[in-house]
Amino acid sequence: MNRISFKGSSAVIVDFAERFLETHVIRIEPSEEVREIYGRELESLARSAHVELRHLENVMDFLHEHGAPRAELDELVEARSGELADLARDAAVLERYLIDGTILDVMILDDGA
Amino acid sequence: MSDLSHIEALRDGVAAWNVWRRMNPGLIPDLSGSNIKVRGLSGIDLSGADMRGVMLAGADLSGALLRGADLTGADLMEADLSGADLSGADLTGANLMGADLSGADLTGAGLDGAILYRADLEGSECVSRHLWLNQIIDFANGLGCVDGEGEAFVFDDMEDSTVESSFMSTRMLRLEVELSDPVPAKAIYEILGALNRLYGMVADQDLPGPIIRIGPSGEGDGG
Repeated sequence: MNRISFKGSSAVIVDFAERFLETHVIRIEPSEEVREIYGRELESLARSAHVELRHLENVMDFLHEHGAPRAELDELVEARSGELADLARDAAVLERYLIDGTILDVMILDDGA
Repeated sequence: MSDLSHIEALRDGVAAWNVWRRMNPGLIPDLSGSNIKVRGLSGIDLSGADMRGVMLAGADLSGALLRGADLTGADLMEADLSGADLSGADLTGANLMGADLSGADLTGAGLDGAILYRADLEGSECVSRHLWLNQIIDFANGLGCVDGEGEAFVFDDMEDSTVESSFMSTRMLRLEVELSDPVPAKAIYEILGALNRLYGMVADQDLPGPIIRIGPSGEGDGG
């Protein structure tokens, strides 16, 4: 069995695991702020880049939640560089491997303070 | 804007100010936006005062009563706030860089966006969690708590504070993703790449950033 290990602060690790390493029966709703500010752009990007809106919203909400500066978020959405769509595809990749069983388990371990 | 008579009253000294406050219990001092030249303000009663945007860099506010004061956007850089009562104060966006907050009561204080770079928070009633202080977190809407020793401190009871939205951590955690065996190389690369890119987007803000390794389970379990 193979294992990939990340280490980071609890706030980010826990949220990251919940957002990207669980199969979600119920869609993760982005914050009101993210939806209000970026909703239209994300919908447009989802159509043009052929990625699922829920993944785009999840990525944006994750970045917003963990302190990405507003200017960076604006740039990410407006630049249309493809980076945001790629991140949404990454989220989709993880979901696919969760569903097909390639990712067997996800554990959060306390390394101590 | 500030009330000039209130600023004048400050020049009479802390003792006179505190007497004045006791004689005018219903009065809310308005010092907003003012550049207060008086630096010796130890023990002063500024509870509930409107101090939005006040400039008090380097001031001695040790033991001051600032309970419920509105210090939004205040410049308190390198101010001595040791032992001050800042419970319920609004310090949103305040510059507390290098301020001495040791022993201060920050219970319920709003600290969103406050700059606490190199602030000394040791022993203060701040948050019910460890703070990882060995890194600088200082950006929009973020909260930075830094200490030269790089130590994590534990604070008590700040459940109602807005600190929750900042980038502090109770502790370091490890995320283990177990893959099937055998697993196609393509899947490993895709998963590792996805994890790296997604996590990497916040890694600069996270502490100390991701440590990624891949290998058979059982390796590196010593933590």
